[in-house]
Amino acid sequence: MQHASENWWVSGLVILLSLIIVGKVLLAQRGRVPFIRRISGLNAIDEAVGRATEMGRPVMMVPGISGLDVVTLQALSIFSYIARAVARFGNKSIIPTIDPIVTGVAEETLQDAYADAGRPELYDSGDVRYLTGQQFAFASGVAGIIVREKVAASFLFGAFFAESLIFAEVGQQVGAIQVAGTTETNQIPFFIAACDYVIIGDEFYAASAYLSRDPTLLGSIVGQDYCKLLLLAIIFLGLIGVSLLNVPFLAHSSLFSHPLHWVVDLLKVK
Amino acid sequence: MLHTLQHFFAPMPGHGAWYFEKLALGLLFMFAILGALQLAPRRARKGIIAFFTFLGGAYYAAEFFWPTNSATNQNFLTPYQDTVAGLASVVGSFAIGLGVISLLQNHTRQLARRRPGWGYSAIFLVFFLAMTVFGLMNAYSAKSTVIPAVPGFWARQDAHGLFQFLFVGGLTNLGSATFAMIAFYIASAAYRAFRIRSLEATLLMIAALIIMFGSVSFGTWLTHGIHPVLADGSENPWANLRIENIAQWLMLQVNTPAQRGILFGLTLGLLATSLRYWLSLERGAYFEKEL
Repeated sequence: MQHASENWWVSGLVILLSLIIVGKVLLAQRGRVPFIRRISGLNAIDEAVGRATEMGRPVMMVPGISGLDVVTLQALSIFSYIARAVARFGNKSIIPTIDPIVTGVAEETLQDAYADAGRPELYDSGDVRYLTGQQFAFASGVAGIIVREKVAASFLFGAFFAESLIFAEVGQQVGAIQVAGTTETNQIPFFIAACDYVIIGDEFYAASAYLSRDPTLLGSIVGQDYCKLLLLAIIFLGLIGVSLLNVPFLAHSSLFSHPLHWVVDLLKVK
Repeated sequence: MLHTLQHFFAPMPGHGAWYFEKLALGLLFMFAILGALQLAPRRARKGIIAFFTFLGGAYYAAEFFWPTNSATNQNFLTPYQDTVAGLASVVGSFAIGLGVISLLQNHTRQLARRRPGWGYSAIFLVFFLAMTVFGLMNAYSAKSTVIPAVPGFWARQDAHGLFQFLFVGGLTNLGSATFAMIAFYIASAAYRAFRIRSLEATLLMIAALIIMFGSVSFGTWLTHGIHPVLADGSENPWANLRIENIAQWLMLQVNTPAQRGILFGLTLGLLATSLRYWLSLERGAYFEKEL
């Protein structure tokens, strides 16, 4: 059980980072909309959806294997955009799920996306498929859908674990264009090896901002970048402090060693 | 009647009539909330959801930041953690039916329309039924013999045996078999990733070879001639070129910082997204729709 009182310095830092992010969001909502760079993996979405439509095959989106958490919600918000593109092209989307709660949210997301694109009649409740609650049974189920439905585009966004390579390799075997993004750093190499485009790290959280151009989301991304700069400055400060403490003259000088020790101790993870 | 219900819902001892009163009250309360949410206008519904989302997040934030008693490492909010976490389980339990309905709908439709692969749906429905029946029998009549009239193998099977046969013999083994398939997928993915097509792919292949050789005895044998200690007893600086040391350097000095860099970004992304949801800064369900 962790509490702020165990390390007030780190807790204060969390509050500061939160304030930076919320501040930037509020500024963006008031009209100061920032620019964000291009993410090539996300530019490929329209290309993949268009290709699937030309081939007359469906598009599959897998929101990972965790329950309804922030990561899955983020994946579903990306799928909302993709589903709108799929609906505009008049194609079919399939979303297999491992969690019943996610199934409900995914159904709402898909239904809204088709309605927003002006094609509510294309929505089929059978397109969101709850398969199972078991990890590898889910992997088998998704692999089966990929092969039977011959999906032409596969989007894998969310929390993936050992089953990631099964999805990506089976998609590769049927010739699907695959775009993937996960918060599980151990699975990123598997996706890079088997998918056409992979979004890495915080690009996963930047994706919805990039796709929607919503000021709130864009402000949040810029807030995150300022936070990264702050963290880099802290790391740099720690690096300099530790290095200087290894210089004999400075380490033995009471004038320098006390403040240096204070800085280094402050930055140590306890 | 009460005894039958008690036996069905709570086979553990210690649950009296109060248990069912609480259960009934809880169900009534939940249905009342769901009904009120359904009847509320869309705008009000989102406001209610935003309020409860804030309340849930505020509890955990307050619990984390409120100073604790140094002896117990708890504050006045800590004892309620299980209760608050239990609320999420209650919401989840309501969704289980949704999952079952989705499964049955999809597979019966597949079967009725004789779509490609309908045989798998038939198998699914048979095993779904079998697991439900034997699962319930396993829980409530573990000692009963299921097919007493048939001699031989089946005569010795009780509900527990058949449930184990399906669960451990079927589901668990099939899961393990699917997991084992990853070995073959790794080989095919690695073949594509390590083909020398670009400078990045070449570097990737060299790094992978070093890591692999550094992890097996044949690899370490290749550079065993470089002794870690010189004749005068001092450390041999050339020992850094032993393949296991290069592999370790790659893992600790190249791979780990890159992973940590990605983790920094991910953690900040998680913080930002959580704050947006908690404070309902991201208006509407998703994207353009305003509250």
